[in-house]
Amino acid sequence: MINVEIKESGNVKVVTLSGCLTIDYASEIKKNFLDAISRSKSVRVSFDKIEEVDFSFLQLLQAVKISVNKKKKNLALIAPLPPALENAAANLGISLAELCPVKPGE
Amino acid sequence: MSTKTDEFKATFKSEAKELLDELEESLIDLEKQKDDLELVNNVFRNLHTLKGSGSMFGFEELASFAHQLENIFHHVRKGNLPVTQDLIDLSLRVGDHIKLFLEPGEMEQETVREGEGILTAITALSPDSTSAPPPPAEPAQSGDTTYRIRFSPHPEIQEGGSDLIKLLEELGDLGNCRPVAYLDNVPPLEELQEEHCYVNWDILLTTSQDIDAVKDVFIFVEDESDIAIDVIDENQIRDDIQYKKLGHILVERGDISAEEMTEAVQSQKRFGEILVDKGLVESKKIESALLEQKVVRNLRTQKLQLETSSYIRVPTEKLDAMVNLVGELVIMQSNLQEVSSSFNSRVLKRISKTANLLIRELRDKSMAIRMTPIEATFTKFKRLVRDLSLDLGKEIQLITEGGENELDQTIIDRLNDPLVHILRNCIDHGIELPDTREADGKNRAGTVHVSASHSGAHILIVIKDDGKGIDIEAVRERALKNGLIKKEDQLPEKETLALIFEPGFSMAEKVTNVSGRGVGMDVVKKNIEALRGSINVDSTKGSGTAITLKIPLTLVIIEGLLLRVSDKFFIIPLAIVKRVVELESEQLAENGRGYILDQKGKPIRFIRLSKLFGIADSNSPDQQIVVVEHGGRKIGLVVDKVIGEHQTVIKSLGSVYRDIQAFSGATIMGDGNIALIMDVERLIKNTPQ
Repeated sequence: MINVEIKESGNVKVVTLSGCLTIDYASEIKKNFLDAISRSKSVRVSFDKIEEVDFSFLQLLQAVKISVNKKKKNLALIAPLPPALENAAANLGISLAELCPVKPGE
Repeated sequence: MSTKTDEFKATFKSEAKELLDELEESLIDLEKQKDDLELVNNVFRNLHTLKGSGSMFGFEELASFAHQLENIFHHVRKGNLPVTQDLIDLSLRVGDHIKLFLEPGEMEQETVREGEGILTAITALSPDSTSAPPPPAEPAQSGDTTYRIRFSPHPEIQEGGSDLIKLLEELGDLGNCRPVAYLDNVPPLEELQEEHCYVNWDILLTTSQDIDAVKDVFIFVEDESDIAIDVIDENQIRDDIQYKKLGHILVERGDISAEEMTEAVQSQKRFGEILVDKGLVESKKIESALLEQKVVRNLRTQKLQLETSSYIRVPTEKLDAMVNLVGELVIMQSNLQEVSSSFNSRVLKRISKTANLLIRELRDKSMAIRMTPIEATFTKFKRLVRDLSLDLGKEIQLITEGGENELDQTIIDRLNDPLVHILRNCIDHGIELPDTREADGKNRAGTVHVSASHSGAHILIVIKDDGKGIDIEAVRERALKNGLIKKEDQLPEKETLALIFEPGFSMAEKVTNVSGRGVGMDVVKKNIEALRGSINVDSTKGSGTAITLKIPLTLVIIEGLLLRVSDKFFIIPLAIVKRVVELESEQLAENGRGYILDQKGKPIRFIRLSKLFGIADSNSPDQQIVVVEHGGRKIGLVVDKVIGEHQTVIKSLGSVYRDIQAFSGATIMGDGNIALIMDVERLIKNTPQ
């Protein structure tokens, strides 16, 4: 299962992802990110109780970064990052730091 | 479009059933050899393929089940989980449940709940499902090889269910793995097709494994990706630390073309030219070496093409349609032969003869296509024997032999139920409990031996056990009790044993799930006889029982002998004909029966078919006796004329005539007339000595 929560804080949209960040839910995640990007200047991504991460999510994150850069907006991940995400990136040879800046959580 | 989709789904179902049979076989073997890594790998591969193909063809739930169990066996392969009896039992349950997804129609609620229970059990068995971090890099050892792997998945790779993280993890299991992902082709989010893969990798892998182990990692994705694996460093310990030049690395990786490198170094001569210029080798030798390269490469390409095109899967319906047409062709050829014999034309006779030869060959080849080894049926017995042994608390070893013998696929399909029933009887009634066997001086584990062998135009299947055998006296008593025989009937042992095939006969003291309802062996016999086969039982009390089935190899076309009685035509199978003799009138008794003597002087009873079938006797002076043999008995059939051999395409008489026992079918002759195919085996059995 996937749960996507979008909260607004000023000009920043915080997209909180929970559950499985896998290909089965990629379409839903994409829709939510498109919505978040279109309606604010800054997008933050936070994670809560992540069960599984697969390749499709990391690729999607790269696509989010490209869209955000094209629109001259900001994107960051909020620490702490879930182990599942870090392990997946490491196994795939993707540098999370190069993919997306990581900001400390509140 | 939907017809194509249905065809693909049907193909997947057929392949999935084979995969599930292989999976079951591997699990049953793994149960006995829990440390066998090869078997673990077999199980993993089967699940992986089921998952991928299932997902591709829209069987999502099936793919999901396969995926869950594949995860477990992934951990087993890595040594994180042992193979236990619980795992084997659960895996067999998963296999059984997956089979249900291949059945038509909606699943019942109870079955759905059962599936949920299975998934819960899998989760309970599974370690943490999140992927582990990659292992820390170990220092290279001497003898390690470094490979450069360029892995470029096709966009649709994930549609086949491939998990790219698991793939790279598997590569990491081989050694020190350093992947670099290239994300340049990932489009903006608005254009992203989230199921596609836009990423490719360069991976450096240092491992003690050989290149085949590396290639094996990609075996299930090689059709959905471009993979190049190169050895770039064979040994870490070198005197010379020099490696390839930059240009070569870039060309090898495909980052620049050879032409671009060539342009950049255009003043350099070719390697071969340099050698010739230096006088180190003649140009002819350079040409010869280049030719060797080309020849070997071409040979390897051809071999690969041959291997990948060795087999083709054909739906049974298409085969049946082809065999039907061949049957019609055989009838047409018979017609042609008939016509050509009535014309005095050498050309026509030659054409008819050539057509006959070609059609016979076509008939034999099309029959051969339908022939399948009976091995697959024998393999399914392993699971049956295992489950029944556990249910009944018995220890049973199954030995099979002759699985390579081939039968028409239709016959194999129809043999399955009778064989299963016979096997159940063996295990339930035949093999004793381990303690009983031990007390009788036998091995605790009983043996059931299933064998197949050819016997002329038939196949013999023998199911033999070393159990307690059939008690003849008990059979007699039970038959008396059930009213099958009278007290004064003194049947020989063989006929007494044959009573077990009578409807309502059962030796079981009570009805169990396994057997005992008495509706089994008579149905078995009926099913075997419907295949124009026969069944025989031999037994020795205390030692065991052997049940022998004799089944024709094919039901479609046989070599027959065409006979005429008055103006009626009959066919008998050529395989049972021993000889043909002239009838001398004094041999015939008043009742139409008489005797001739065989070569050993033994009398053979013969009967007039005209009398048997109520046909007006022609009283022809040239009548003949056809001596036939079956089950060790011979009889003679009196006919007006033996016309000759006839390729007989067997046509069913239809449901209206299904109870007529004298004939097993009919055929259409060349002139359009019908010839009835006699059930000679039954006739021999019913003829008194």
